[in-house]
Amino acid sequence: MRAPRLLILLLLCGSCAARGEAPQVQFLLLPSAEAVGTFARDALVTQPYDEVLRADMILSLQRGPFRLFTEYLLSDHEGDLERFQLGYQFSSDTVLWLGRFHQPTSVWNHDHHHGQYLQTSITRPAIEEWEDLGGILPQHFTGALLETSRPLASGWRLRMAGSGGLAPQLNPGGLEPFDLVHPDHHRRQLGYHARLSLHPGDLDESGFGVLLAREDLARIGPPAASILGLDHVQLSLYGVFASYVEDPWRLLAVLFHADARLFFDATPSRGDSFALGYTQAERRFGHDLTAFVRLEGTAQAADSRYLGLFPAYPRSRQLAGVRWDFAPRQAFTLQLTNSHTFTGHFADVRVQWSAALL
Amino acid sequence: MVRLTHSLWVRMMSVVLIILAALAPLLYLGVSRIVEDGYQERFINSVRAYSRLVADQLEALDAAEFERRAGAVLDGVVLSGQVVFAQIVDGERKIHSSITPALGAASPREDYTFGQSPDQVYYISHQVRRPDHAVVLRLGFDEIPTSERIRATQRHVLLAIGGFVAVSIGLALWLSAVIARPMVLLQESAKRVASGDVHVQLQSHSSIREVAELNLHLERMRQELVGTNEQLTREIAEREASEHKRLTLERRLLHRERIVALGTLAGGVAHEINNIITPILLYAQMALDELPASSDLRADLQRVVESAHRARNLVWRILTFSRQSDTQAPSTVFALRAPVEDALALLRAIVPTNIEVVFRCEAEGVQLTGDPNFVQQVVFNLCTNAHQAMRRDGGRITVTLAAEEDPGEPQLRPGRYGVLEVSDTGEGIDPAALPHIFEPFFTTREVGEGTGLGLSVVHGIVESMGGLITVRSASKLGTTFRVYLPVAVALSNAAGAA
Amino acid sequence: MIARRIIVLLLLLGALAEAWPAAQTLVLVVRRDSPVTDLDSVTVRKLFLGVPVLINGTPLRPIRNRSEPHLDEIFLQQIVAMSQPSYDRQILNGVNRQGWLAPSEAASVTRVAAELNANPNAVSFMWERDVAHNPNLRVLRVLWSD
Repeated sequence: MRAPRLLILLLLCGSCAARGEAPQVQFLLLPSAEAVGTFARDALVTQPYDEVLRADMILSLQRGPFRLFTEYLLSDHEGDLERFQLGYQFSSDTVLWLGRFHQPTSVWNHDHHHGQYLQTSITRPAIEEWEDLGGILPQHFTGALLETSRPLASGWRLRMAGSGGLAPQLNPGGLEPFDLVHPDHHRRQLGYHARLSLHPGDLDESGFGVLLAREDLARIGPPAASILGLDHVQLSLYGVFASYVEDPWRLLAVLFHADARLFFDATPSRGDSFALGYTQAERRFGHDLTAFVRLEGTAQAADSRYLGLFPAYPRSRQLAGVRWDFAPRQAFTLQLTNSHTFTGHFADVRVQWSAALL
Repeated sequence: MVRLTHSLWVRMMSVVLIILAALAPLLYLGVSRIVEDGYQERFINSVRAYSRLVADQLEALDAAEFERRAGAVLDGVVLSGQVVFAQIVDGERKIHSSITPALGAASPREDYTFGQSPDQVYYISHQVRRPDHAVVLRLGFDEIPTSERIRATQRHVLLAIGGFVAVSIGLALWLSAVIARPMVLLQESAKRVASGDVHVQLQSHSSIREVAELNLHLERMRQELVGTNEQLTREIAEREASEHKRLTLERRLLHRERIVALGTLAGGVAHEINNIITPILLYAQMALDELPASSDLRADLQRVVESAHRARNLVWRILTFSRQSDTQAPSTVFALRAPVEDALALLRAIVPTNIEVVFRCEAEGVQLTGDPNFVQQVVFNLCTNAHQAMRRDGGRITVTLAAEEDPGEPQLRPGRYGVLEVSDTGEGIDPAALPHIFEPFFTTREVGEGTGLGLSVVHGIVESMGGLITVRSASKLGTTFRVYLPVAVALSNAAGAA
Repeated sequence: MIARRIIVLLLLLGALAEAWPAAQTLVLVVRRDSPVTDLDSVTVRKLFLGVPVLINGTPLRPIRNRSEPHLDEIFLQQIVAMSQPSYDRQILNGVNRQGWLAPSEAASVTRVAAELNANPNAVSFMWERDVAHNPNLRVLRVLWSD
């Protein structure tokens, strides 16, 4: 349904860019197939969807300082234009994007986006899960994103990113971001994000930084019992992250403190705070075998009225697995996960094939 | 079964060993390859990035600084650790690190893969651009630490796989023991059951469900077997008892028929003799009566009369045995004890002193219907028989009176019986003679010592009273006759010694 | 006799000289009229790692010369200073995360020269001897020398 519109859009963009100098084009396809088995289950709700087949398509065009960057995800249950960014490259280090993008305070998503091959584990951390898969924090915004970096003395580099845009809406089924292909005219509110990080080198993945976000999430749709009378939610996020990448080790830790204030139609607003974070360790054995383990947790989750809107949210989760890059740009991953949600506990085992076609 | 259990263990271990033999080398080769590739790639990444960094630093130096610091940079590079050769080639001039010895005139060859050089040094050359000309930075990285690390890790892998193999074998041994032990116990129990010891309980106490269920089912089979066996044993015993009873009855029937036939024959002969004797006795008596007292013939006739009386007495006994006596007394009800005691009183008078006569009465008031003289005759004959058996060595004759309800003898109808038991401590009766003792004229004594009619007369009396006589004899232990006579009225079961 | 021997010796020496490998030099090249005048080694590395490099507001277009395996080895060792798997992963990450463009690849020197001729912002590398056959190309710097 949406795919034809996307293709038309891309053709339009391509034809515009085709005038004059031929643009540089880059296409990347990241397909994956996954099998999931859930066991030891007493939770009422687990994951809203288990995407079995995915094809993540990335198209990048550049003509002079202008850039177009799109990411389209086709899976067995959806086809979405995940990212659509028109950019202007001010310099080698600075680019301004307009369009739909992944907000920069999500460390995981900013690094891996929707591509399964490029992330070691099969699943992403619960606090950075996509909105349509039960995510609790908004990930897709439509607006402006500025990314820049500055060299510092002693070779270190300061990377900065700031964004502002239309925030997802809150409906009884979860968060729903703005859809460029099927735009709606519901009430939307804004969200702002900032990310500052220091890295030892130009292209170094090691580093640490701070993450700040302020998001207003308007409530739409028929009022469910759990959000009866809720008008909107104001989320303030204060986070830190650190990553250490030194072959064969790769460590990542992210911690957020969140203030959520729920505004109601008739009654005074209610506020609650909670903290969430995760840490992942990966160890490479040879160049084709990687073991990983990740711990995720949320503090004060039980008292949070905001988190109560997401019954499938795993407030604590432990996972471990192994990835085998059995062929160039192809990998098999096996992952065992133990999750505790508000409604109970469940465990699952996942096997995934993923690949990259450049 | 032993072979089966043994082969189970052997097979399990064989499978484990085959799997390990196939898996361990593959595992070692695979992991070694992973280790080698990993270390080599890490080494290459590291040395390439480092040498590029050094080249970039040198390129960033201005001319004066380059001249002043080039040697120091090379020294720093060497001191950083892995670099064993550092050189800058500036045209004809070669700047070396002061720490490492200079190579010969020949330039080292560029390496692109780990372990390419025989000297175990990985050489990288970078063009370093200077304002007016280019110089070449040549760095040599020591491959030995990485090679050693690879070998050390491979050794650890080998050890780990060796440990894994050892643990696997240990686990396999333990597992096969866990599986085989209850099977062996089961097998031993089953063997004992098979050899007939069906009361051995089959208990293996295995935590393995299949073995436990096998044990359960075998135990049920054993219990079924035990039940069936007991039933069969019982049935066989019953059949044997029944057969024994049948044979006894058959033997007694034959015996009885023979005695009856003998009795009929003897009775017929006795009648005829009686008919002959009667006129002999009558006319001899009449002749005697007519002879004068002083007649010499009187003594002869007296002998004829006496002989005729003895013959008549003999005939009477034969007729009594054959129950054809014409002189049967009318039936009366009498106490059993009285004729017994009368007979014993008479007997005590005739038995020698070396023979003790004991009387026990365990049932007072037992009354019979018939002629008490017959009972007296029975007791007398039996005791005479006993004392004659003991007259040489002495002994004891015990006469016991008792009463029994349904004695269990197949020839007797149910009911209450007076029991007269006469036992002696004599030599006992020869087993070969035992079946014939009640036959008339059968005797084991010397010629002239008996007529052989005593026991046959007893038998005839008892039969005529509706009773039964049994005999039990053991060599050197004595003989016991047991006479069952149906009671007229059962008055009491009171027991008491006489 | 002696003259014949001298002639044979000279012929042998000449043959040896032909067979003796000439010193190889790898150079960074652009089109002769390219606005690019100079690139330091750090920028060259970034360029071939997919990082956008702008000259006068125009992004440069890196072309990876894959005409022979030896060039690949030198490229990985001297230019990007990485192993092949690391380079591959770096390129994929750049495309996925930032929308960077992976360097285009040319399988022959002719193709490299054609792409360089077609785009003044294109940058590539080739043997110095190959540049001599393409007068429309200009050497920016020496990357590696045997």
